[in-house]
Amino acid sequence: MVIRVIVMAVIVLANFVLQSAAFQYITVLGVTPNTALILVCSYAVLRGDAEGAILGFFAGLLQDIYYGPVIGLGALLYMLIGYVCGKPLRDFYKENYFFAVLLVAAGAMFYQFAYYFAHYLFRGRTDVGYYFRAVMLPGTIYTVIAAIPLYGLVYLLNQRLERTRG
Amino acid sequence: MSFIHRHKRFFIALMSFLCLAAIAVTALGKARPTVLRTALGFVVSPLQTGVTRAANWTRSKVDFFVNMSNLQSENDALKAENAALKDENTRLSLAMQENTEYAKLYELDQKYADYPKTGAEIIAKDPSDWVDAYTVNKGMSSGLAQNMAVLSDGGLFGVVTDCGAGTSTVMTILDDRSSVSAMCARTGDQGFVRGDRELMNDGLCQMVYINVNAQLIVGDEIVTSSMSSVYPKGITIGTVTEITDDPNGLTKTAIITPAATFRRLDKVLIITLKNES
Repeated sequence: MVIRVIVMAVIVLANFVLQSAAFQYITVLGVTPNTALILVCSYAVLRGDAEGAILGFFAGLLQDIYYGPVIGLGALLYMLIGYVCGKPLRDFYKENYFFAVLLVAAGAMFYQFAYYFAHYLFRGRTDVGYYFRAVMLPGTIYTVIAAIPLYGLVYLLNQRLERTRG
Repeated sequence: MSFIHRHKRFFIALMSFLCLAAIAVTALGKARPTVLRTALGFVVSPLQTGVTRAANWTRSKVDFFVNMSNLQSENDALKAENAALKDENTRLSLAMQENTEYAKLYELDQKYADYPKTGAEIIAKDPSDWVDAYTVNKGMSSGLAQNMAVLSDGGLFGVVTDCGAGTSTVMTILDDRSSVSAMCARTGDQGFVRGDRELMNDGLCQMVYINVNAQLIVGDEIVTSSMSSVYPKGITIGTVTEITDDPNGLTKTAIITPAATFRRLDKVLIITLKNES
C-alpha cells in the first residue's frame, strides 16, 4: 500500500514535469496528447473507481495549482473521469486494450468539452463546430494514439506492484 | 482505505462539493494558492529546467547535423546579405540622426529603453491545448508580480498572470484570454490586440474595435497604447498583415503578425514595473 502510494505519486509528478517541459516538442497541429488523462483512465481501469478517483484528483490538482487561475476544476474533472473509468472493474477488461483505449477516448472528449464549456463558452466563444474540429477532435485522436503504448506501460507497472504486495 | 471503499459515493460527492467551492472562491479572485504554488514550484521547477534544457540541447545538436549540408549556401547568402545590410546601415544611421532630432522636437517619451528589466528562462508550458501560457524560472523573490509585461526579441510576448516565489506563469498575447490596449504607431488609431484560438496555431493575433475611418494600412507597426493601465506604452506588438471591415460597418479588424517569437522554449525579458490590475 505504502509502496503503491509512493510509486504513483512519483509517476504523477514525473508525468506532470514531462507533459509541461518536454512534450512541447511533439505538438502537432496545435495539440498535444493529454498524458495525465491517459494515466488516470488506465489506472482506473486496472484498479477501480476509488483509486482512479483519488489519482485523478491529485493529477488534476497539480495542474490547477501550477497553471490556475481557477483551482479545483482540473481536480474535479480528473476525479470524475477516474471514478467513471474505474466503474466496470473486471479482470477480463484489464487485458482488453481496446476497451481501455475506448475509455481514454471518452474521457479525453469529456475533458475537452468541459474545458471548452468552462473557459471558452463563458467568454462568448460560441463557435462549437470550429473548436470541435480544430481542438477537441485532433486532441482526442492524438491522446488515443498515445494511449495505446502508454496503457501497456501502466498495465505492466500495475502487475509489478500487485506482485510486490503479494 | 476500506472505509473510503464502503462510502465511495459519499466521498465523491463530498470531494466534488469541495472542488466546486474551491472553483467559486478562486474564480471570484478571493484567494490565490501562492503558498501551494511556491511549494510545488520548489519541487517541480528544477526538474522542468533540466528536462527543457536537455530537450533544447538535443534539438540544437540534431539541427546542427541536419543543417550541415546547407551551411555553405547559407554562408554565401549571408555574405551577400551582409553587404546589403552595411549599405542599408549607413542610410539608416542618417535616418536615425534625423529621427533623434524629431524626437526632441516632439518631446517624445524615451522611457521604453529605461524600463527596469530582468531576464528569465522559459522552463515549461501549460499542457492544455486551449491556452498559450508558459512557466518562467523567476518569481516574487526576483521582484516579479502579476500584470508585468513580458518581452521577447524586442516585441511584446505576454503578461505575468500568476507568481510563486521562484516561478511565474506568463500568458502570451496569442492566448484566447489575452486582450491588450493597442494603437497604430504611425496614425495613433486605437484598438485592442486580442489572442484568438483560431489564429494561435499560425502564431498570429488580431486587433479589434478599430474605427472604420482609421487610416492604418498593411505593414503598419502596432504598439501598446498609452490608454493601457497594465502595459507600459510604446512597446512593439507587431505589424498589420491584413485588414477587414466588420459586418457592423462601424469597426475594422486587423490580423497582426507579432514581433516576438513564440513556439520556442527560450529566454524572455520581464519589465519589472508594478502595474495596477
